[in-house]
Amino acid sequence: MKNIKLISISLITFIISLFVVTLPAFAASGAALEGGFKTAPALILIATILLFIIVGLMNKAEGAADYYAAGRSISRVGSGMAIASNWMSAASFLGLAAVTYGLGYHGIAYVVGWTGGYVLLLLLMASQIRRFGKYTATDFIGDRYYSPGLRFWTAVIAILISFSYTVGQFGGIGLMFKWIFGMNYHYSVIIGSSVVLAYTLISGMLGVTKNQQIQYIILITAFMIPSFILTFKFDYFWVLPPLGYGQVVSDIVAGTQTGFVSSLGHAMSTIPSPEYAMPWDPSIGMNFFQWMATCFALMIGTAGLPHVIQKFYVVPKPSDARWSVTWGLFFICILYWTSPLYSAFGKILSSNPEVGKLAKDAIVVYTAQLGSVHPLIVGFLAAGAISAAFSTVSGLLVAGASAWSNDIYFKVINPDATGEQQVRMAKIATVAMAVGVTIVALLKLGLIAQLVALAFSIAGSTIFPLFLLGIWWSRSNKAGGIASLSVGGGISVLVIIYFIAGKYGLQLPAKDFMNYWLNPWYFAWIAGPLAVLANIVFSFLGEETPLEIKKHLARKVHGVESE
Amino acid sequence: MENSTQYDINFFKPHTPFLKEATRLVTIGIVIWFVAVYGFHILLRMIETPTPEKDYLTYEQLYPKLTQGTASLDEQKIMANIYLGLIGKSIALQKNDALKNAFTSAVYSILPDSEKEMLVATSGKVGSDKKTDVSYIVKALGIENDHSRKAVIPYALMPLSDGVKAMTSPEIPAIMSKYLIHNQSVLTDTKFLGFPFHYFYSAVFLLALFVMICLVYCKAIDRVMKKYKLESEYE
Repeated sequence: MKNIKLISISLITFIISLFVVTLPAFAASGAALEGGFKTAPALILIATILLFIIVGLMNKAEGAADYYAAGRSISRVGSGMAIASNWMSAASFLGLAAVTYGLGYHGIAYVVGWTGGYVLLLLLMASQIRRFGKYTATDFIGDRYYSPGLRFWTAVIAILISFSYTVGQFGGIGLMFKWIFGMNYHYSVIIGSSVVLAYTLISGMLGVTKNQQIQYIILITAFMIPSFILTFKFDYFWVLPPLGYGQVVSDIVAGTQTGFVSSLGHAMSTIPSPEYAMPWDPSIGMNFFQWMATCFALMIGTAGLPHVIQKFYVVPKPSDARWSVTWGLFFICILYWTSPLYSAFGKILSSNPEVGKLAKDAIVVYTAQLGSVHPLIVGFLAAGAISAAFSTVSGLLVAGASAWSNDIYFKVINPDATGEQQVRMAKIATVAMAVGVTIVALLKLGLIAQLVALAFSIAGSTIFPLFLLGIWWSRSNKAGGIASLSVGGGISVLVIIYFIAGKYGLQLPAKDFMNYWLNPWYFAWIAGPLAVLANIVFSFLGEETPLEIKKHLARKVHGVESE
Repeated sequence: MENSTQYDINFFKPHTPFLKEATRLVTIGIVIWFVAVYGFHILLRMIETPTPEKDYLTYEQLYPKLTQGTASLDEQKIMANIYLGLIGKSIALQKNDALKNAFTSAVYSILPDSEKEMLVATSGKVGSDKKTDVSYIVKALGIENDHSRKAVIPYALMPLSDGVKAMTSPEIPAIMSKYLIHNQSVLTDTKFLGFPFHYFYSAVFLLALFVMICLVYCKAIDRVMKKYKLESEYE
């Protein structure tokens, strides 16, 4: 433990010294938004990754229980930070600002959806999941619905969710590697994903959870510092940037002429643009229904994500599961309160047409650059973005790999497998997933936040209904579970087919209907409730839930008989 | 003798005092959460009215005159500024030929004869050279102090080599309504801590409310657990 602290302190000192030593060399740089190798940000990034790997190595997983659930040795606040870090991915760090920058108030549906889902998670599931006493989401579903088949298919879906979620993250890692190293996007994705893969394999879940606490501190610091600088520099209320940017939003709506200039020498001014803040503006192309559907789908998706649910198994007690959600949400909100600040400043600083079309997913970094934030701090911000993606990817790869090794390999293919064999299978699965994700990430199928939203919709349509009824209705049985997963999974597959066909220009029937009502970013708004309905109907048609399951649910999960 | 119904769990029919209190807390939390998020946005939708920007109202008055060819030079100048502001709103509109043709033609019309040839030359050059001098256009439009509109001019001109086009186009009315009419209400027009109120509500307040719901629920359920002495077994 002392070693970890010593090494961590050394590396943090190293990062700070980089700022000091290289300060003069970078004082004049930063005019160009893209291109070229950026030495100091690269060094900061390398130091940060090194820090994660060393801490991970010091906390290496020693067995299956360690690998999956970190030995249940994490504190409430620590677990909250790990939840926040695990959650705050490239989608939060980069993607949220991108959607609010590009889609105005529609982007706020993502902010609300991704935080409001935690309320559902806490009220309906967190401590109950911990009490049920399993390691993974698929374990819960397999046991609660007493169906190896359902366990198998849930594991497949968990892998699909992790896969889809990771695609967006790899895209974010690629963008930031591209910005720092000046390479093309393809090489950036390949190199970035190789680094994150090596890191996940070396550290394991115990290292990951410990790392996630350090990652949270690094990424939130990286995210907040430029927000103070931007609000201070441009004379807005800088003491609390998440409130200070409110006037920026109003300035965009009314149009403004300030005396400031951007790093490119453009006047910081904008034409009146109410479309930036007004709800479901016609010029944005997203209407009221789409706002509500996106928000709802993201909320139920949040409560159904296997890698999020899995976090509740790493806390020692059920009450810790509840408090860690609350702490986690608070830590997440610090970033989410600040994220629209970057899009607002980005809007006003990039309003000059000479800036051209910016990659929306990198708007956080571009905003800091355009606002003449010191290049080293911008570099730290980019390293923070990569850190955010790393922490989530490692959690996702572990969740996907454990779904394979524990729920498919051990429970279905080889029940006699030793713990060592399971860990080996998990590592093989991690590599296979990372390679697959890299290939898909290279296709650039959508914005980070949108690709991630697809994972949420899948989770909201499949896992969430099974957990909701599995916990709160003992009549929900195997038949209901199968029907629920068939409906939710079936709609998900259909949507993915249409999505991929659309990307490659194939014309399928009812394309417009699907694109509007069952859009990949929010189809859970209807698929989730339909899956719940199917579960209810088929549970009534099927046989009673076995007494053992009902007893376990009543006694262990809901405290019946203990009173 | 064991009765299987004693183990029934139904959120809507809690049968033990603990479950009753626990589900009541969950219900309260969910109702607050639901009303705060969806109730507010339904209200926002119900009270909103399509509200035109000032430029749209001016456009409504002047566009028919522009179509009939009866607009004065001052009116043409106002319309050119409206077109320019619109083009400045988005990169997509900077690629809209109808709008750019209308703007360029309006500018051509208001310029003094001595500068019309300059505009023909400038409009031919801006495609490749955005630094081309447009100060005479800025002056003609009266936007010397408007940095945003000034910066858009090189991106708003269309080559006049094929002759001067009309200042109107069948595409323009739809573009105007799409970009210059917004869903507004007292909730969007009221300012709170600098924000438009609805923006503050969703981007700041709702998140704080979510944390508060979680905090209060955790405190309350901990108390309930203690009351029913469930800590020893579970906590």
